[in-house]
Amino acid sequence: MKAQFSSSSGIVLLDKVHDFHAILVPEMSLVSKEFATMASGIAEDWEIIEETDEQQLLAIAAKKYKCHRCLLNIEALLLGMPRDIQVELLLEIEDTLKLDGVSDFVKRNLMRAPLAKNQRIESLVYDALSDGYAATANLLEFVRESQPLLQRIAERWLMLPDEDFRSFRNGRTGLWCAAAESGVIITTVDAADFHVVERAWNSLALGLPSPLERIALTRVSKLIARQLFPTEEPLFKANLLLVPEDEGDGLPNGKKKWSQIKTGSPYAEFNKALRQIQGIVTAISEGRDHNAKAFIQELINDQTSIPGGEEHAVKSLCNIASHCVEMFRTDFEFECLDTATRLMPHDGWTLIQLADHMKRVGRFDDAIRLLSEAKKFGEEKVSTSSLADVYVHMGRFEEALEIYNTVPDGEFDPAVRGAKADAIRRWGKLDEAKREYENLIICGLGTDRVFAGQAEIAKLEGRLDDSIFLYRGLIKSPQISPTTLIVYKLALTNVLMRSNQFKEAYCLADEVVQQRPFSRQARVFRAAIAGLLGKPQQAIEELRPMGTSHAFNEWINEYVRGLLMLMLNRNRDAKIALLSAAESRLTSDHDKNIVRLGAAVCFLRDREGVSEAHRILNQLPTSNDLFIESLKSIFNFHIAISRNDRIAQENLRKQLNEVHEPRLKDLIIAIEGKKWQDVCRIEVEMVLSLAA
Amino acid sequence: MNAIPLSRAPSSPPPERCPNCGDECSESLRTCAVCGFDLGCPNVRAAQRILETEEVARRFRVARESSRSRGVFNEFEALSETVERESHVVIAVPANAARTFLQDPRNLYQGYENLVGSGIRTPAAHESDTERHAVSGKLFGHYAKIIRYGLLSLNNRSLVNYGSVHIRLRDIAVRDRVSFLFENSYLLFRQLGVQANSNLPYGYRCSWLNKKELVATKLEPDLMPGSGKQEWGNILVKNGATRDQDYCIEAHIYDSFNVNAVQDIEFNEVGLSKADKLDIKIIKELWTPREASGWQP
Repeated sequence: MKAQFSSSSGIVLLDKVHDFHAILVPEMSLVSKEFATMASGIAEDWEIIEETDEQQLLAIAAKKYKCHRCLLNIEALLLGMPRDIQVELLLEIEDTLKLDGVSDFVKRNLMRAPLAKNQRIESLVYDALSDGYAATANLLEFVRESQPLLQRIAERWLMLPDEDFRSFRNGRTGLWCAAAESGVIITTVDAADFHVVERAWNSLALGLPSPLERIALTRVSKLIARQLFPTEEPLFKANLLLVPEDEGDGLPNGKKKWSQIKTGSPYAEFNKALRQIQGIVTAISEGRDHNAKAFIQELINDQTSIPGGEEHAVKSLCNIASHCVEMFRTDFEFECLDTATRLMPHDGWTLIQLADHMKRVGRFDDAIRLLSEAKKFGEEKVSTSSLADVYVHMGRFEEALEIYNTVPDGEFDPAVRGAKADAIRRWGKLDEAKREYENLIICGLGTDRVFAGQAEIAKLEGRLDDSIFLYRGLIKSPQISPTTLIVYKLALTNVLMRSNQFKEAYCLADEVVQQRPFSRQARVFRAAIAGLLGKPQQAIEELRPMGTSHAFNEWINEYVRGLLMLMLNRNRDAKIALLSAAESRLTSDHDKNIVRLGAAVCFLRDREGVSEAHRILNQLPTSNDLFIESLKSIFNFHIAISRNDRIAQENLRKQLNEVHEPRLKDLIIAIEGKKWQDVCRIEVEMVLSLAA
Repeated sequence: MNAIPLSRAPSSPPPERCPNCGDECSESLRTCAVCGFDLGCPNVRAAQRILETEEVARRFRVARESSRSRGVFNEFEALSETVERESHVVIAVPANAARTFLQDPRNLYQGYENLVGSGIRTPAAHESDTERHAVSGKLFGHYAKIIRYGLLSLNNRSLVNYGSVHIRLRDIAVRDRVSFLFENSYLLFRQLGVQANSNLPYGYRCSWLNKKELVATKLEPDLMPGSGKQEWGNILVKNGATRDQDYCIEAHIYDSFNVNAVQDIEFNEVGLSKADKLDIKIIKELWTPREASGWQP
């Protein structure tokens, strides 16, 4: 159902295919066409609303009308009204602000431009509070506080050169309006650094249909961020000044983040620490290790210089270490955690985090020792659970399950029960894991982890649509924490890659990269999909070699690099990268299959490598991943055809009759037809789509 | 209301030519596609076609003769003079729409135009509005969605059924871009029985320049001996019990206008909701200072 709606006139023109109905929203009454024609002429804000049914459509129109009216009422207050009108306005505003979403809409729109006269707003806040209109007072206070910063954003916005806006259909003002409507101006006012501003403005790209506009937006986003944070590395340098020093006092409380922090207040110190951490993380991500080390030292010195500051320093270090995990920088992760444990040797959480690091780099004995220590410092439940996880990584599943059974109250803890079910799944006992997940749902312990586990099983069994459905449901769920959401988005990306939905997969991976710019895994995923979309050169530029960092899951970087290089026929470099991934001892059985398939593809490129490929394939453990098992059979078929081994060919043909995935079938046909160029290309694509 | 007298059926008008370059130009466009010359508003050009103005003038002459025979010639002449000098365009809108229009954000925000521009979105095309298209499409063709509707008045008043706030527009703001129709367009097309494949007959529309002829022709049958401006104002804009019984001379304004185009505002404060009353109070509050400060059109 489609309609045109004007918030200012409150008129809905409902499309009835061969006719239209005009409805006046404030009264929800049908009005004549003559009336609608006459009344609609003054309105300039027509928009199209589409909904499944009329009731829903009218409800949306009514909400929009209320939002518009609330904004209009607040603007009337700000323009100045006599006391009797002000009282009526406040009453109506307060009532409307209680409706969901109205406050956000009004805030966004009040930030369209700085207020011309700011004096009235203070007395309005006072009046609203005195009369008991807390929501209105709160909103007006927000507007009042934001004015100095908004004023400066507007000034700098207008200073940007005109030529940067020529590509935009609606010009400079159109882009500003879009930013105001979508809340980007508010984000900019609240921004603590260059990147937040840049990301916020870049988010407007979703509403721009033309690539030209999107490219231009990237530039404008950078420009405005640079205007507000003038240095290249704004986060840890002192000269963040947006506000000249002599104007700093004019800023309201809580909004002094853009001025140089001179006080030693806890708030100022906290902000400073956040910027230092951001600076350190940026330096590590850019490979400026020397700078990063100096900044870490500076941070520790700053924080430990105040009484009890060790605790803050340890938290900061653990925070940086978490970012290092995302960046695949286990070397720096260790440095941070090691320093943290030296500052506070009896902090249980830090020990658990260090144990987690040890687990990921394969130092299992150290991990077990550290977790035993952490138990002594009051973190028994988490330590025990983490210990079980170490055993899972070691492939000692039975012991892991026994340990899970010893977690205090673990039987009633959804996290522990979910972890147990996951361990069973990773053990390869899919049916048992399925039953366990179903039990958890029946017992009311069906957390998101349970559905993710089911999605993974569906993927392994080749039920890709089911898996996609489950993951899509999960990423729409409002209860999922941001960190977990990232994990599910990447998992969905992987399934989408397997089901040849590369464009959607790319968008999702790109979204994660925007949300987590330091996540190496997300970048690797994005690069892999770019390769599958036919842009290996562009993709490979983003992936640096791994250097000295080695941990579980980090093989993915070299694996994807190697396959992208194969696509570019850089066979020698590809072989080095793929063999380095294949030789990693830090892989689970499932991952071993993937990395060795990558190496096999590399050897299958020439006839001399066929024997080596055969040897690699023979060493592979059996997997319960249908896709992987199919690929193994196809590669063996490739070898059998190359060797002209008719018996092996016949045996394999029977197995290959069970393959239904279209691209795998294409590969089989290409091998049968000895179209080796096609075979090489498809084989690389197949193993690249396993990247996860 | 009197029956609408018959007029000549329209024949195909000769193609319009640009006075600057001489090339044929589209009736629907404001500027010449060849040389970019401003041709004037297309609705006004349509109302000023020779065949149209001649037919309006012919009907005016017939009405004048009729007034002579009915003994209201002096009133007819005075009415024509009054319309020529004092008639104006009024738009009637609901209170909330009027308030949005009149509560000018430029007074509240600093640098509003530099940041937000006109602050308006491009109006969506009324693509689903089939009846309106059937009517306004015949009158205006492709530019139907650019037209704003009002009516011609002698007393600042519009039809009460169309909204509680009546906004009188400054003559200077509309005179070069307004055309008038003998009656409300829906009603007129129904009364004339204009079919999908036929056009409006000549003699029912005019521009600012010959508006007195159209008005006098329409009102002549209702003229009473001794009547004056007040009576004429009431029959020019006639409020019926329902909208179907409302009569007026419909005004078509090419393109939008802003608050600076407003000369005066009148209110119809009968049967208003609480919200409408508040809107009107605010409009009065916002509007009064402007008049008091000596602002003049």
